[in-house]
Amino acid sequence: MKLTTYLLVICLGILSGCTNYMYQGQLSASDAYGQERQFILYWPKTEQLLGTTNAGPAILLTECSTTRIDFSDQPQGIIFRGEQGMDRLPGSDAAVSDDQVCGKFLSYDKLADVPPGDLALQVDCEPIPDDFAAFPRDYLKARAEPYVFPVVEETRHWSLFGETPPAPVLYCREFSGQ
Amino acid sequence: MPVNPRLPRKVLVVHGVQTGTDNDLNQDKLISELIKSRIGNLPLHYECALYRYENINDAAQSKFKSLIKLLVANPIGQAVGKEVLDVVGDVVISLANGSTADAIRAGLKQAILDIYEAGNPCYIVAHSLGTIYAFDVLNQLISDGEYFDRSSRKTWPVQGLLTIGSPIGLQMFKITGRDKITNLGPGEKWFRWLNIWDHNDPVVSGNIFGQYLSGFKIAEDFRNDDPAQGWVIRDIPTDTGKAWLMAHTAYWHSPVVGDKLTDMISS
Repeated sequence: MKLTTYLLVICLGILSGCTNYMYQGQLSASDAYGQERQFILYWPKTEQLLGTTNAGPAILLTECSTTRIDFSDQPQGIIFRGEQGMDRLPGSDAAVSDDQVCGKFLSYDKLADVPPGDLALQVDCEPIPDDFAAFPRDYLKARAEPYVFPVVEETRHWSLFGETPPAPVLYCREFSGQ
Repeated sequence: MPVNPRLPRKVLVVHGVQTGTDNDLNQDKLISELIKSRIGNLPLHYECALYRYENINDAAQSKFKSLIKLLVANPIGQAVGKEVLDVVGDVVISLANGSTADAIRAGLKQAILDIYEAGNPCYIVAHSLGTIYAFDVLNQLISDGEYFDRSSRKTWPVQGLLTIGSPIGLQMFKITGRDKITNLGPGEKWFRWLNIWDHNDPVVSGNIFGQYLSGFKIAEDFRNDDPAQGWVIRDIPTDTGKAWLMAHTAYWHSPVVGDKLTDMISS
């Protein structure tokens, strides 16, 4: 009975064992309104003992903002897809059409392939103000020059059925001490 | 009363298939904790509530009680039979457009309208089978014609929909009428539907062995080119880090879900 249990656990481990990673990078730059802000980019990745490697999406946190844009694997690469009514190209009055590429990881096509190290990404859009919003939509300022995030592998943990690794949180310096 | 964007955002959680009773459910607390863990020190005012319908399901399943008794009259049945039948019963009820499903939908609609009457912006988070009820009721509210003036979000009883681990892409739901969404009509505002799913979630794929899903559209299949549709729909495949069936219940603790929800209820 004990042997059977051990064999069962080993089989389950082979089928379901995972290594969970959390990647993250942080930088300071101008936001869409010209304010100097901190930005954190993070994404989870899971390698299964048997099976494929999953990753993403990559989430961009903006200091003092509740906006969380995501970069995900799409046919055009790892991109931030603009949303109708929410994003536009700088200098344009009109919102982007759905699925317009508003940002992109340079040099990589799949999030699962992005290693630790410097990661260049580009942002091409800006948020559209909306009176209904609790906080103004905000993210990295659109510019032709790419931003470079120094990405590190923050977590690496093996487990039988997988775990959800903790993600970084960004605190707003304007509200600190309140 | 029109929706007041200055009032606290209300997150109405619609649970999925369950065992047990309404008293066992705490998904609203899980979502509240998840948002709290993701907003840092930002003063975002929100409240979470749970739409409970498991007791309605269980009452409808009472006619199966004698069958359950028969099935659980052995050690294996005692271990799993009752819970499996509870879950299977929930799915069968949602597929049938019978009085029980109608009662669940009517209760959800009323819960949404109560929030609307109070003036709070309402956002729905629905999990698993709950996404089917949320989908039905949302489309019903748009079809009613009384709400959802596309030029003013203050007339919208629901401001955004976040579905997690939804089986809505499965054929069994398509053939029971969930093959299109209701157009909002002409206007400049957009209704957001974010559909988050784990690559390995067996409920999303309909494959008990957790078939890997990639390059796959589920909610985005509901898009069309009609400018009057008025929905911004996004599939967000995500890595919860969990394997197989655990992936289906991992969303409640996923920072990606928490972040996208934070984004939605703030916008």
